[in-house]
Amino acid sequence: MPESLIALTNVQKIYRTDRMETIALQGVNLSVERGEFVSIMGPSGCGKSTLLNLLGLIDRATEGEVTFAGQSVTKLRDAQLAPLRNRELGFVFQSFHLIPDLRVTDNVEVPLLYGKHSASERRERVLEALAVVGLDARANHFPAELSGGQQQRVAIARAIVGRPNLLLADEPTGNLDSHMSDEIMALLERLNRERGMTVVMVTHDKTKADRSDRIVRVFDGQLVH
Amino acid sequence: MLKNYLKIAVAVLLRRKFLTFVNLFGTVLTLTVLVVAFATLESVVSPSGAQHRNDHVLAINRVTMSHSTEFILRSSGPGGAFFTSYVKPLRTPDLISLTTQARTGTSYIEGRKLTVQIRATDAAYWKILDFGLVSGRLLAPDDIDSGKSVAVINEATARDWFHGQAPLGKRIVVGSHSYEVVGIVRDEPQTSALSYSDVWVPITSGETRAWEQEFLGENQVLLYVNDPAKRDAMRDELAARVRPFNVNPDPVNYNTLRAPATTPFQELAALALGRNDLRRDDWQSDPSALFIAVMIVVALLFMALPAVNMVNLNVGRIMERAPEIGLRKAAGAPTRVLVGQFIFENLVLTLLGGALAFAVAPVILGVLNDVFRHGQLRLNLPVFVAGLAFVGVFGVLSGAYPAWKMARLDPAAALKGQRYA
Amino acid sequence: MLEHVLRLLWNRRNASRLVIVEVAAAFLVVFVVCALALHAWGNYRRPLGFTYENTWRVRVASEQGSPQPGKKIDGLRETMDDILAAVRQIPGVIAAHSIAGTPFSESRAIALLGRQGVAIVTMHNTMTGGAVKDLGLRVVEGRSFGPQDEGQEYQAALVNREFVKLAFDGASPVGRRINFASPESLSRLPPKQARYLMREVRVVGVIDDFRQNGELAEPMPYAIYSPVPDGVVPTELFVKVPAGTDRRLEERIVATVKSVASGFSATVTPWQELRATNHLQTLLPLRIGATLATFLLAMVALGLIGIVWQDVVRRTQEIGVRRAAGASARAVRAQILLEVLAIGCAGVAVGSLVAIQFPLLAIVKQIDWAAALPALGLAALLVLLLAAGAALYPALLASRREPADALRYE
Repeated sequence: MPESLIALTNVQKIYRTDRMETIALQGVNLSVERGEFVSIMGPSGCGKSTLLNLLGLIDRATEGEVTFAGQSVTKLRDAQLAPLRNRELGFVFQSFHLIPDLRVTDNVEVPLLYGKHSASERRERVLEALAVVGLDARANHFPAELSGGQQQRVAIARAIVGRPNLLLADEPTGNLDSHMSDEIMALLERLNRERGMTVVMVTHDKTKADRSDRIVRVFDGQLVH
Repeated sequence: MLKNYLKIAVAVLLRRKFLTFVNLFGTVLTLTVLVVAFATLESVVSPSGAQHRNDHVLAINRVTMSHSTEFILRSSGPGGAFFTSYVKPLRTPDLISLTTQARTGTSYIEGRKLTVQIRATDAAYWKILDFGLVSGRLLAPDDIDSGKSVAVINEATARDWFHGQAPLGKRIVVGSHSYEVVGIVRDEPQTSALSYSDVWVPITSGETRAWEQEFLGENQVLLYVNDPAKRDAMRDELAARVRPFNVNPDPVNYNTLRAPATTPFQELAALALGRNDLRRDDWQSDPSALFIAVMIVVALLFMALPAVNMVNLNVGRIMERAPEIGLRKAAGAPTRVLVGQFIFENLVLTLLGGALAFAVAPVILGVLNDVFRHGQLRLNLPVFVAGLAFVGVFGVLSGAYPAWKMARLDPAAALKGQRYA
Repeated sequence: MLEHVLRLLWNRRNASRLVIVEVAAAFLVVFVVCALALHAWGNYRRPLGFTYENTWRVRVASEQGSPQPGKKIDGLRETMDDILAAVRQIPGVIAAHSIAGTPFSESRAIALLGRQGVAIVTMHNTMTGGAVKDLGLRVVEGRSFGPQDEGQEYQAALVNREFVKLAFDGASPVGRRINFASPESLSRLPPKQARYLMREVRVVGVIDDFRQNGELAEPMPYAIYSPVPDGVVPTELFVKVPAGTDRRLEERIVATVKSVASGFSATVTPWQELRATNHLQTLLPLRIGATLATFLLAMVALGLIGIVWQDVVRRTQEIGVRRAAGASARAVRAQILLEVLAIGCAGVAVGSLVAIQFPLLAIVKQIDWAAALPALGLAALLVLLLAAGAALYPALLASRREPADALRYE
């Protein structure tokens, strides 16, 4: 019986500013099984990034229930949520969000700093992650010295260094040429098949989405079928 | 065009309200302090009251007797004998005067205790200083010759003593001596060392004339020339006459005499630099130049802290907007325009700070005027000009470096998100 | 974690240069303020050494004028003796003594005293053993003046601890001579004065202090001579009166002096009043300085808050990344605090290097820079506390955001 790794039940997300309210997501019911490779597609502004954020536990739903590995996380306080993120999740952002003043190794190391790892263990894992994405030659460079594709791969390395169970990626091939895109997709598939990592990916490229197990479509803040 | 720049500048400044506030606070504080300090200095150096003919006058405040080889020293103000032996024979001054220093006198009237400053003067005093007469008359040579017990009082004393009744012709008691009030003059501030007092009486109206024979006493000597250009010659003539110490009341113990004729600025400089009579090396040099140098350094240092702060905040602002600036540069905006916009923003902030400082400074000056008796500090033209100069220097200090950084900003690197040093 | 933060700071060192300069400048301002404040407070805290309450100055003036160099007022010594005896008889006067220099006034007498080879500028006064006792002076070594000092070849003296420290390096001065006359002056002067100059001034005891110029004065070596027949005749007395005595006693004293000594008059002023005037003069620059210092400190504080705030806000996205990677809000705040403190320490270190120059190069000789070390410590503490405090609120704000929110920040 495939177990649900993360499930959203009747979730709503509203952004409120001083001047107006935006309903980004409404009535979302979604369950991602352990080991699944899910793509999320939709026109720009439809709320797919918001959905990814909620699945990645880096944003809170305005209403509804979020369950992770059978445990409700909707009401969890930051002190409990943080270690959960640290152990279980890895996030690849659309704009990479690498820390410019840190070298590649230090950037990749960031998630490990908040877990309980010794210095040697951290070093080992970082090198391993860099090897997986094929960037061990650039370990000591600064992000500004890398190309867009290389920065993307560093971001992926950072997301997987903690060996998370759930990997979320926001347009991971958005900035890459076709050759590099294929390589990244192959990497994601490898992580999913060989390591059993659950992958949820936002993309606007149908060819990439077709390589996943399931496509979730979002339109105007709601899931459509 | 200017209005456009202004609108953008205001919008930028309002976007980060707290930081703008911090900048503004520092600027206003610094400029206010500098303006207040300058106003105080200016009122000492060129007073507007009775001492306004400042550049015609030198004063002898201190006479020091010592010995060239022994450690022995006696220092006090000039006495009548000193005045007779060394000042009267001078040829350069057109007027000379001996007056006591302003002393505290207590009086009891109807059970109340009042303290006033009282000064006993000779006739020439009233010609050298230009008091503003409110009613009655000033002391006349006749009063001095006959040693009459008459007094001129200032407006504050008239108020405190007589509460609205006409003081002229009434009597005022200071210590144990009673005087008839013959005139009322405008208040003189404590910062005018030669004219400051509440009550003026003839120097001859005391109980004894012993002071005329005394070499030292708690007095001041005023030297006046019609032509300000002759002031240095007057100082030199006095120094030349004093040096040989021809009239020496105690040749056994002392063989050196010093009695410099100084301007209020020199007195202030000596006071500020902590000069005192005990150290011989302090005696000879004119402290003015050093004092000015010290003041400039202190002013710059004082401006340095908020300037550095502003520089930091400005650089921070630029770094924050680096992608935007990079974009504009890449889109072809000339560096000149971007830098110009930034400098304009900085100028708006500095000028605003200056304007606020000019608004706050008179309030502080008002407070100080209560602290110093009868203070008359105010924001006049020289002070205003000095204030503008401070604003200018400050604006340059705080804007130059960030502007330079902005000019150097590499668009490609900025767009790539490289952090800026 | 520490390594990571240090590496991050090291990589950012160029961008941090200016902030460090500002922290250093702020530290210097705080340091100077602290040094001056500690110095003034140190002065104020030291005991005055004598009591001034219920003590009045009786200043005697002669028709013949004030004491002048080279002038002798006839019969002054006898007259002062008569006056003193008469004043002592007045009911209501507990004690009366002559004194050469009244505290809190402009007058001061100085001389070069010390031991052979070490002569220091010493302030001095003259009074009897009775005066020493009635003023509450505390003798900490040796003894006060006594009948055994009368009619002797030497002139007894008391010195204060500062004098002992500077002239005798802390060794006991009791029994030692502290005045020296050069042969040149002896040959130059008439015999009577030469004899006076040759007399031995011998220390019989050490007092805590006699701070003639008031609580804010700098520490000063001080000596008190016991009166000798050839010495200067003091024209000032002080009287001790019971608490709450009113001015009528003052009038009686003035009247008594007039009746006992024709051609002489007296003015009476409580030492409390003299002290108040003295305070007015010495406290005014201090008060202005304190006001200025407060504003300067406010400016320093705001400035630091401003740049720290700006810095933290600028790193909101980075904070978001770390939070998304599983950092708790507390961990992120701790990191920000650590970084701010590191920058603060760097700034304080740079500022200290500059501050140390002041005492080393003895700039501004007025201030005793031995107070520098505690001032440095205090200033460092204040600046670091301020920086940490300035970082707390923006750090709190930034770390409380949801990671997605922080990442969106611009």
